Amino acid sequence: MTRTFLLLLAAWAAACPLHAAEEHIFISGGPALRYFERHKVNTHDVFWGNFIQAALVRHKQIAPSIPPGARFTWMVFRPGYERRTPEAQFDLLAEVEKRIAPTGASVVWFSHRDELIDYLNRGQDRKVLKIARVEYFGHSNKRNWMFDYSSRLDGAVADFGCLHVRDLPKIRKDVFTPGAYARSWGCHSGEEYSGAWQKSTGVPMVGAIGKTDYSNGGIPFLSTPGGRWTQ
Amino acid sequence: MKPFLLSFTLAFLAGMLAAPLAAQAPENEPPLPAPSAAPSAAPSAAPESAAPSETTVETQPAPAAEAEAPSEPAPAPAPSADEPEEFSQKTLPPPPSPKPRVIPSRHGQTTGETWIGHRAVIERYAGWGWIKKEREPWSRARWVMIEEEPGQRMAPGRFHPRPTLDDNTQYRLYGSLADYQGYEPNFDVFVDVFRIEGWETLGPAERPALKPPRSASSSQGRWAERGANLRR
Repeated sequence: MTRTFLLLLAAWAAACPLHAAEEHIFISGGPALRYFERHKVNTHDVFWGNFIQAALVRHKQIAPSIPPGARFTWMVFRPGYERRTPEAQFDLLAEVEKRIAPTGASVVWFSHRDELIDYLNRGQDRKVLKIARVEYFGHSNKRNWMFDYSSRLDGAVADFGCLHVRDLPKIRKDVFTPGAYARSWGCHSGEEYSGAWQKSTGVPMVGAIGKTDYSNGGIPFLSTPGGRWTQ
Repeated sequence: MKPFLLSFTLAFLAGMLAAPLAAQAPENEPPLPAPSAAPSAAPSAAPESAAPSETTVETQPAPAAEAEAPSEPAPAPAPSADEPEEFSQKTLPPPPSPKPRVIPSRHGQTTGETWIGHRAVIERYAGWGWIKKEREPWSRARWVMIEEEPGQRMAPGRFHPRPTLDDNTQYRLYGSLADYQGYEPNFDVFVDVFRIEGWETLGPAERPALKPPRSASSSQGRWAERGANLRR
């Protein structure tokens, strides 16, 4: 009896990997089409890669704090880059993969918010591999992450191309590590989205009060006077 | 030592070692970036050439030539280039016209399912206008966004120097309602989407006395002032 118990205990302990069993996830929304934006006073996404480049800079910043062996996954909203490709006149899907490759991240393309939710919930064996970090780079307002902003619809978003606060309860709470970190680099997330995220997932989310700006090519910065980050 | 005791001891030690590593969530988060943090690390990877400024007054391009400069701009445009977020339909004033533009009276596929559409430009409200079936009263019209395909299936306004210049024009629209809805970011509401295939101009008309939808929780003040990336 004792021997069986000890063998089972040994098998369990051996199954525990020596490296950190956790996943770090970046999510990049897509760029707007210049076809829609070029006439506007406050035009968006002159550069197609705002939400890739900013995340690359952020990766450099956090890389030292990611434990060795942790999985790093980069989810990218595919239709945004497909639709911008004719304007760019080169293959943006290939370009995105090329730029992400040096980070060692696994690129996961998604085309629908349900694919994103599904990946968070069961894209990996969540009993073994929990999510330790989620960071979002893209268009947003206080209630919505808008991956598809002004790409299919002028100044608006297809419903499948966004993750609204009403969708957040679909994300399971038990997929995150106890000390998981979440952050939205989009505009206004701290005004409502962060709270809704924490309520649904149990994970606090850092978000902006006010607008953020990606235009310097680096980490997005607060562009509203008096703006701040909140959790 | 018996073999199973040895294996147990080794496995137990391995488990003890793994546990604290796995628990190392990113607690030691680097400090929040300063407003202009790390710009130097950003753009070096992308050698694309610069594109013309978006706010430059243009000469009139033909609709088919809606695409901008052949290459994409560099990743670090001037700070003003991607400036204040605003989900607004407000457009630049029309450019000076070096030559008169010919606005077609019809475009695309003009057979099949038809609707009557009234173009309505509403500041800080995304969408195209109202559509209804031919014999229906305007009171039954619905507010729609239009799904276009640049260069192929285009809204009538794309043929004007600015896409808002056909405000209060009515059209016979060819196409169908899409199987998804569009999200209006200023008022946090989901509205219908019309997949346009073609259109014919009917002419200017008075705007129907209708109001576009809003979410139950939204109001003009709340969402216009605090909501979706609006410039004050």
